[in-house]
Amino acid sequence: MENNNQTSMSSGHSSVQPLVRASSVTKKFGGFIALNNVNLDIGPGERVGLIGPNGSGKSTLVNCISGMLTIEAGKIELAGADISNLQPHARVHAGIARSFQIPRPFKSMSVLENIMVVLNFSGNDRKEAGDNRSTHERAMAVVHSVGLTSKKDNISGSLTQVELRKLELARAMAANPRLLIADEALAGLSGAEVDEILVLIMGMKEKGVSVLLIEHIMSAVMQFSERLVVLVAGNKIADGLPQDVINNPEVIKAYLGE
Amino acid sequence: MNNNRNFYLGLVVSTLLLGSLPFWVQSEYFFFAAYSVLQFVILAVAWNILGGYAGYVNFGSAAFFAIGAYGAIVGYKLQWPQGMNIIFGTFVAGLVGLGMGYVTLRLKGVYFSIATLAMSVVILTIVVNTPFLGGARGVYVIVPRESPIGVGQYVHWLYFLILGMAIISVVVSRIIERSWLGQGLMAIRDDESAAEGLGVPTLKLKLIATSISGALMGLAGTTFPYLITYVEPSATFNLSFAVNSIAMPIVGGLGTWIGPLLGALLLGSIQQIATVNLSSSFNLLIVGGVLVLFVTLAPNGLVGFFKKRSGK
Repeated sequence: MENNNQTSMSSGHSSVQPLVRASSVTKKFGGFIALNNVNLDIGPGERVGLIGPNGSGKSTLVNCISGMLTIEAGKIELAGADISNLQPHARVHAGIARSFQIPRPFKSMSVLENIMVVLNFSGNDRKEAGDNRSTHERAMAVVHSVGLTSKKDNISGSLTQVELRKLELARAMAANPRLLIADEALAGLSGAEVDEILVLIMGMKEKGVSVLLIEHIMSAVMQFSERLVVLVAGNKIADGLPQDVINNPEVIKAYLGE
Repeated sequence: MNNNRNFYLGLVVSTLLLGSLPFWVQSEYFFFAAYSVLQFVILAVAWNILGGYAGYVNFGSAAFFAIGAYGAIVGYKLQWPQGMNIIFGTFVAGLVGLGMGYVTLRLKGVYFSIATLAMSVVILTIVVNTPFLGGARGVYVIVPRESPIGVGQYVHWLYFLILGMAIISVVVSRIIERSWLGQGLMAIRDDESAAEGLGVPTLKLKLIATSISGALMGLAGTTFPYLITYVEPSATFNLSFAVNSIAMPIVGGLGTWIGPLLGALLLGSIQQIATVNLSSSFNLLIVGGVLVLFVTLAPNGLVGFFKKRSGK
């Protein structure tokens, strides 16, 4: 029923192989259907925004793609390979990294050590050719890119909310992913801070990294997204160009009521 | 690295010092006491690999210790050389650690701990009902009077063995702490699902940790039969092993290689002194008292206490 509203943008991707394809994904918690037959394609290097009211299944979808949750039905593919049964860490190795909605730093470690963990465990197979920096140097570069250089030796448990958000993003970026999932990376930040983080995420495109951003701040989402997907009560009700999607009557109804 | 050089220098010095003791300390009893302290060093260091680094509290230390001891008994009965018995006991304990990991590591927190306690009871039941291992009645081990290396009595030989094992355990623990393995285990301790979600193969690392931890606890038990010469379940599965191997790392400082070492030296020595001057029945009371003292006054153990002091 929800597929009528999809614009040509998403179907256009079926000709090129998508980087990530979630097909007919269904997730239930007991009798509650959190995701109902959801399809989502993300192209290589594409920036996709994912919005929806609270409890609509955004984080559930992200957890299914990153493997934190197992799905009841459907399939998750990465570059054509079925990854539905892979453990979360194996999906990171395959190229899907995520940040968490509520920052979850390794509290006993410094900022730098947090990054080192990811560098050491995310698999160096996608390390760029000719990059012969040590793990420490690469960690420093990541820390620098998010502007935490002055805090690199601070214990991550002592960081402020903004710094934690940056660290959260830096850890996901350190995994050198093909798809970066940013789960509410901007929540609780001020205007200037939002812009700062947004620049970071948008910069991922230059490296050919696809980004899936879950966000509530509409101005940021509109600025960021090349494509916008809307989930409501576990159903995908829209998927297309941001301008088209926010003028879609169903989306307006879901957000503002009738 | 400078830090590394200092460590190995300290290691060589303390090895030479401790290794020379049999040449100038007269009392034979001293070596029974020292053996006991060193045995606790191994147990505490081994427990810390899973409990301190990864944050999984194992109540089953006594069972792993007993597996090591009974592994050596199997070898003894089959008339294998002592070196073989030590390797065999350690290997079996490591294998049981791996198996226990597979069965229990889906559980977290206190549920994991209860499962290790249950495993301990299962293994005790198996031993009690296996006549080959002496069952509930126990089994005698006949040891020579003389040391096989010609220096001192047999107890001196056992002292050399346990000293070597303690050094191996400390070195292994320190290597783990400073490697990718230690880093991964600490990530698991801080936030297991975040670690998994960032590429850390958590189950694999935990299995490595339970295997190494179990093997080292077993190692501590492999020479125990030769020390007491009469092995029976209540001595090997003693509550004292389980309690001490948890209390010592906590008192010393969790999650560092030196913490359990200090804790074991401190608590082990106090207990030996109390055994001689008061009675061994005070031992667990002392451990409990010291533990309460540290948890309230220095919750990060001796290591945390000194760090705080030097930091100010």
